[in-house]
Amino acid sequence: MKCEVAFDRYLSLDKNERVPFEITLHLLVCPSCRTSVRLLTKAERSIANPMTPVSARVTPFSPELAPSRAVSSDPIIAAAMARISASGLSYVPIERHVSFSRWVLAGAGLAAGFAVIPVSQIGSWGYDTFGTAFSLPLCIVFGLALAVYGGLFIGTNIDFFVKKFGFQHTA
Amino acid sequence: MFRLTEDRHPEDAEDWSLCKETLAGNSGAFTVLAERYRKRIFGLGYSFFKNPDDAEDFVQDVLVKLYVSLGSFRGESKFSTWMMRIAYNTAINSVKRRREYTSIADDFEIIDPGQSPEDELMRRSSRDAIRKALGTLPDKYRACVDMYFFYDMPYADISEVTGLPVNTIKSHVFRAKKLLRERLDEGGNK
Repeated sequence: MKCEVAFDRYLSLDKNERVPFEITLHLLVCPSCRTSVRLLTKAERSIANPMTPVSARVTPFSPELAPSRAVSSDPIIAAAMARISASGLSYVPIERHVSFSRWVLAGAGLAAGFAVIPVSQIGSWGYDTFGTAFSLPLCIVFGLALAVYGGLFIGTNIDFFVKKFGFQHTA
Repeated sequence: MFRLTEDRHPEDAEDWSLCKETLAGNSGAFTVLAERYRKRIFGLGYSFFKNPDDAEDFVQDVLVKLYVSLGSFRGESKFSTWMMRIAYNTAINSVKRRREYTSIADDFEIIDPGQSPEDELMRRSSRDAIRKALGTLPDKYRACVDMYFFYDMPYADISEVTGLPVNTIKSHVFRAKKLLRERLDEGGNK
């Protein structure tokens, strides 16, 4: 492969795209192209470096640190945050508005209710009248109630689950 | 179909985690995000407005927009690409904007204290080559070349931000790369 053809193909590659085998082969045998590739890579890195996202190069993010950094030392960011705060646009912390205690109580009540049925008067009457066949509709009703409860629980708190577990929609 | 997002590039995963923290009410997480991308937004603003005061106002406007729109960010693209799209559209639609786009290679001194004098020389030489390549290109294509070289964005991301076809972007970047190579080879042969 001629140098010009190989190099043009190299230049048409995207960022971080894998170099095709035939170009790699050409670079192995051509010191001049190899030098050009090395210089070009170095040059591209040197001009992109100043705009690299800051904390990726300096300080890695730690969730524990974040609350203490609510006020930035950068005046422009601090002014933007003040604008956000003044306009009342801030997001409300999850813990403040999501309470599961009522759901836990309702769930416990549901489970207890179904656990008590077989030993209650209704259960005794059902088993006396229908025998062991009574278990089947009882289980179906329990299963349906559980599905409705679960569906309502997740459906009404979907925002919490999306934010908490990071599920996202993909095409 | 839903999938967990922890299989992505560490920096993108970190951005995604910062977004979730922000949406959960932790404004400190958004400050971290803002500090991370402030330079990029300022650079883009400077290219459009050509003066630091307007560029600083632009950074504030973009940060407020990003914060307000964060709930609509679904993580289908990288946060940096989504952020650049909002910043680019804000700049394009701004009434304060000057007519032409000035490349970072033309009129913006980027200081990177971590660079050695040799690296600095190479950076200046590369900037000159890119400036030459930008020559008479229309605004929108100049922004594409800048995004590729200075903002380290791949073709697909630039296309997503600017709405231009990948092949068009590719051909302009290709031309710039050729000139950059020539310049570097000339420097090497001196």
